Amino acid sequence: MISRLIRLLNSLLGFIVIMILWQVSVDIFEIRPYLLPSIMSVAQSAWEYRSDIFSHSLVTTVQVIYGFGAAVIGGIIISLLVFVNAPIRRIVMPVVIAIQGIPKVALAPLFVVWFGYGTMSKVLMAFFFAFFPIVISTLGGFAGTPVHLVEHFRALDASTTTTFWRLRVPSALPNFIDGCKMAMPLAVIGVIVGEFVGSEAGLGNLLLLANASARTDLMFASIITITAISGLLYGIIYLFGRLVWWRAL
Amino acid sequence: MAESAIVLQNVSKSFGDVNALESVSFDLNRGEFIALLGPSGCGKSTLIRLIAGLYPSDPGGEIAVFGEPVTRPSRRVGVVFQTYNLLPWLNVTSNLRLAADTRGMSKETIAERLPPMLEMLGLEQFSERYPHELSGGMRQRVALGQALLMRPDVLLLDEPFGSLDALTRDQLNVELLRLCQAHDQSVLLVTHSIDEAVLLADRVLMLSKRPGRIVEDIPINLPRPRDPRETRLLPAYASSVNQLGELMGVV
Ligand SMILES: Nc1ncnc2c1ncn2[C@@H]1O[C@H](COP(=O)(O)OP(=O)(O)OP(=O)(O)O)[C@@H](O)[C@H]1O
Ligand SMILES: [Mg+2]
Repeated sequence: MISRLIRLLNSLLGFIVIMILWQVSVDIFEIRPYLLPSIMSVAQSAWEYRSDIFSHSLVTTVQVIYGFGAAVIGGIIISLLVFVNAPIRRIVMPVVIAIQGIPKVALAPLFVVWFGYGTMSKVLMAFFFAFFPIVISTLGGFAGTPVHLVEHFRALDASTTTTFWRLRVPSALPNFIDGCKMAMPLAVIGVIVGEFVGSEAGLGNLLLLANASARTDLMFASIITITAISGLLYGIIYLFGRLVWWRAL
Repeated sequence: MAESAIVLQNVSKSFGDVNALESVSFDLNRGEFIALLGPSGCGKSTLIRLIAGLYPSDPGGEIAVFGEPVTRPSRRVGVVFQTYNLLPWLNVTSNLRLAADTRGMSKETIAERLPPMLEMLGLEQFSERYPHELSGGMRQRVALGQALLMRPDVLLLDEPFGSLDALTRDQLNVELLRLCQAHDQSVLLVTHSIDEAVLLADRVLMLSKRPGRIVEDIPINLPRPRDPRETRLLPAYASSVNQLGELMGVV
């Protein structure tokens, strides 16, 4: 119990040091607040705007989860199809790679034109940001199944289906989790970019509002909230990843 | 009952311009134990894979298992490969039943055979453990047990006890001897150890450097049942080991 507490404090130590340095340098160098507000004033404005921050956070989080969820489901389906069927692979993979080549930030205005200022355009942004890493790492996992185990299954005359479910899927799971870990922060970025380009709510929207009214303290409060949400969602994936314990072997 | 378990006639295998095996011919009789010795890279694992039906031999040769030409993996063959054939995400029990399950053996039969198998392997206390929690020797026992649970008519073992210390190796050899004697098991064992070959086998085949050809076929006339400690004391053991050692130096 005590040692867990100490470990928790250890992982917070870096943040505490940064905050102290921040506060101290603002005080010592008398930096003007609109450039770098003190941590105290950021905390104050976060408290002052807590209900706004909360409701915008909710909007952003829901959009991230939808977009990420769609990327996971779509990523799994595409990975399965592409791995199992060679003609599909030859048709689909170039398209997937080409889509990854598009500067996705540039898609945001288009999505807003097509789907409006609401949720849909942000969900799509998150999807496009998160999709590729999931597909690539899952496919890598299928293909990276140890050859000697594949050979073992072949010697047992196992059907393709058996080999797939009993061997390839479990050995690809760690890679899939890694893909999700890469994809989650990207999904957050996707949503924020979407909100920058055109939105009525969300933390990206709040950030722009704060910027327009020169409230640097509120901008910082928004940025820190976005980071915290991203970290929280990442943590959830991390916990899921622990179910796939054989990854570390 | 003169039918052979395995017959190889004039079997060759090349990978591109690498000739791994060259016109290998031999019979493995039912209930017979053959050890295959040969320098590294001479095609021993290749030979095992050919018999296991993982890939075809070059045209002109023929491989038959219980009279049937090998075109695909046969249900009557059990293989233990050089690398552990264990799945890291399955515990010992699930790993033991993997092969039998995959081959479609009934749940009842498997359930019946599991406890005695665990006992025989000395792994009762470890039935719920995962491969990474086992020692190297335990893992190799599980790998062997997995093949044995299927009760294959012929067992192909590719250095199943390689990378083990001499003591553990001896223990596993004792177990293997007991099993084979109990079930009149036909075995083809690949090994680098002359001692192991002489202790276990009825016949030792020696392969040349690549491309592998059978250069010697030596009967081991030691009484059965054998026991490593006692058998090693016999004069016939020493002379077989010496004979093989000299031949190994030559090939
Ligand atoms: N799938 C393959 N493709 C190409 N070459 C191969 C393949 N399998 C084996 N070889 C070659 O065939 C030769 C024999 O390999 P094999 O694995 O049968 O040797 P081995 O006798 O089992 O050696 P060791 O005692 O080290 O296990 C080697 O030169 C190897 O490079
Ligand atoms: Mg080998």
